[in-house]
Amino acid sequence: MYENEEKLTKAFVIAAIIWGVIGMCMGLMAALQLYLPQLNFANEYINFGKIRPLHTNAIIFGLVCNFIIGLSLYIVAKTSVVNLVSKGLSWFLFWGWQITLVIGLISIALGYTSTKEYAEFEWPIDIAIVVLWLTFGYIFFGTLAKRKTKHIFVSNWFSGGVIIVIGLIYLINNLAIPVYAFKGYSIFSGASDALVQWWWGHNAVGFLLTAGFVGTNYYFIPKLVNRPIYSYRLSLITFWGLIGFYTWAGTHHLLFTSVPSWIQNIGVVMSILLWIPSWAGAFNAWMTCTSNKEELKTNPVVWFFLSSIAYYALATFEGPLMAIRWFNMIAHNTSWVIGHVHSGALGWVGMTCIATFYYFIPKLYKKELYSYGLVKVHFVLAHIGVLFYIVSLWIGGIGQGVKSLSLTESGSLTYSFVDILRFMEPYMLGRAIGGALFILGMLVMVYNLIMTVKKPQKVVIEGAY
Amino acid sequence: MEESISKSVMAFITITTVVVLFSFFVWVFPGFFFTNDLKEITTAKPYTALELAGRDVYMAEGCVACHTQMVRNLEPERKRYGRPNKMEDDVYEFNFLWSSQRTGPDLTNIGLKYTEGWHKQHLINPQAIVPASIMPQYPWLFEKKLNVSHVIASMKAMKKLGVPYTDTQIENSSSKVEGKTKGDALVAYLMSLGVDTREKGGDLN
Repeated sequence: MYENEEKLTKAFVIAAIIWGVIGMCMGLMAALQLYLPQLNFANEYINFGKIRPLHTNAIIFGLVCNFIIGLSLYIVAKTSVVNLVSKGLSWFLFWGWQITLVIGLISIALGYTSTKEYAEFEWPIDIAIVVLWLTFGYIFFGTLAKRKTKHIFVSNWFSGGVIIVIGLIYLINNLAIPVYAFKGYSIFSGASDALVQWWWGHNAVGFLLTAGFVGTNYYFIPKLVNRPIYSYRLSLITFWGLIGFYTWAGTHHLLFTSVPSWIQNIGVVMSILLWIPSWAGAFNAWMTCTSNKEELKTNPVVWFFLSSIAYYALATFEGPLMAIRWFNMIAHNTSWVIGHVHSGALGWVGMTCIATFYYFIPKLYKKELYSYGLVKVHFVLAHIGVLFYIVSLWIGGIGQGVKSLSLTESGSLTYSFVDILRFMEPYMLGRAIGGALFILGMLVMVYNLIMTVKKPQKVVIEGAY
Repeated sequence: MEESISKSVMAFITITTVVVLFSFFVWVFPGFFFTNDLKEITTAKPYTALELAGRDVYMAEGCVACHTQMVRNLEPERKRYGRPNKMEDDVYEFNFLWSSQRTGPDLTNIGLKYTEGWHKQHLINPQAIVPASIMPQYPWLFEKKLNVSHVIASMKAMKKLGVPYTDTQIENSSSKVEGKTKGDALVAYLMSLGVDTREKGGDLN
């Protein structure tokens, strides 16, 4: 019954893994360039200014979006007990997305960029993405509308929320007038543009990198541990909390800047409030994940889910903290922010993706996972990698912030910019090592999954007896 | 509400959209109307053709990945980077370039600090001037010529957006950028930063 859905999901998941590895390698390159500037090779297309947006876009639109689109469509079909509303459109969405992404990344390398973070793509790419996103929305909600179940399953709430919020905000933030092919100017200037941008920037994190995965977790974790969701009520709180508070919090990116302070303060208050739904969601997922003690002891895939939840709790605690003025004064513009983002990106998003791949890919191909031993190896590599990464940037980033603000008794600056650069050098290396270990773990996973898929088909004899 | 929203797709879409747009109307939308008031009080002047071309180079090269243009109004920041930004300073900044990372120093007032020659040398080989620098080298910028028609298109687009360029200025712009390299333009842009908004006592140390 679900042949097309399974084929489509396989395509999206494989694309997600490929983009993920490419995007992470670009991230590693960027990290190394910050330690060894010679690695910019005085080259127009692969210097840090190009590699950094290539990294973020490959991860967000490659790994994350393929994951979310592929799995949310699978989940909506399965939980609604119907086929997707259109087979043709779903494949148009798949190929359209990959082609758009390839053209988009090439255009960034060539210097066609809006410079607005996670919205670097220029107007022709933006138009393509909006069209594809509407297609996604049509397939998703169309399928949901003809469901055979009475209620909308909780995962679909989150996916639906992601589709609506991202669609709206992406569109508004990218409003621009074309100057020539692949070059446009935002229709907003200065402070207005900053507000629109961080309305988007923070919600790209809140919805693409958070709500989407919360949704898929509500489907996959109960399946994996073979137990129901711990609390339906908590999932409601998470959903309305995220939808209600998240879109307000973006101005914490603009504290102490020239935007009016009442707008800055909204961001501070809402960011602190966000702590509640975040930890409600984390608690719910944690309790679900630990409800099957036998699986918890023996299955390393469960460990990956658990650690993803732990990192989610960490990042959503650190986030509100960094939005408080006193901390923000130090953290703003420093590498601490990058560390914080990666405790979310590698810890939460990364581990969730990894766990889902290990659980779901064997299921999709109807095979047993090739090696649980290798999953354990991956577990160790991934965690040492993330720890190296975050701890390096805690020390390096907080030091950078404190040193930048430090004044001598006579009121002059204690450290020159070069002093601070020298101080950060070892931590830039530590971060790159962490990233490299994480990628090594990803390669172990890719090998494990390829071997899984290549295994001879399980012999299923239906009705043999 | 819980009942209907978990049963009706239309109710779900409508309620979610309304909840999400609430924040938009409170703190994003009002920002769209700042501009006209800010234009009245700003001391910022529109970029010359060459500076504007340089700004496009600055964007294209991804300089924002490492350089902010937002001095926060804190004592150490004022000491290090000069006069803090005011909202009206950036009224002609279509695509704001505040950035969010200071891997390199803030550039809001950089035009007050160095000479053109310094910038050119530094862009070609930053490590020759600051040995500990981790900035990439940009020698090719001084080999590639500007595309004149693109510069004119950029000025016209800015005019459409409300930057007070006159038609003569736009017509004359081609002679100003003809034969110039991307690097020349970038240096001109950097030299312009902080100049219009300069105030007494606001210079860099």
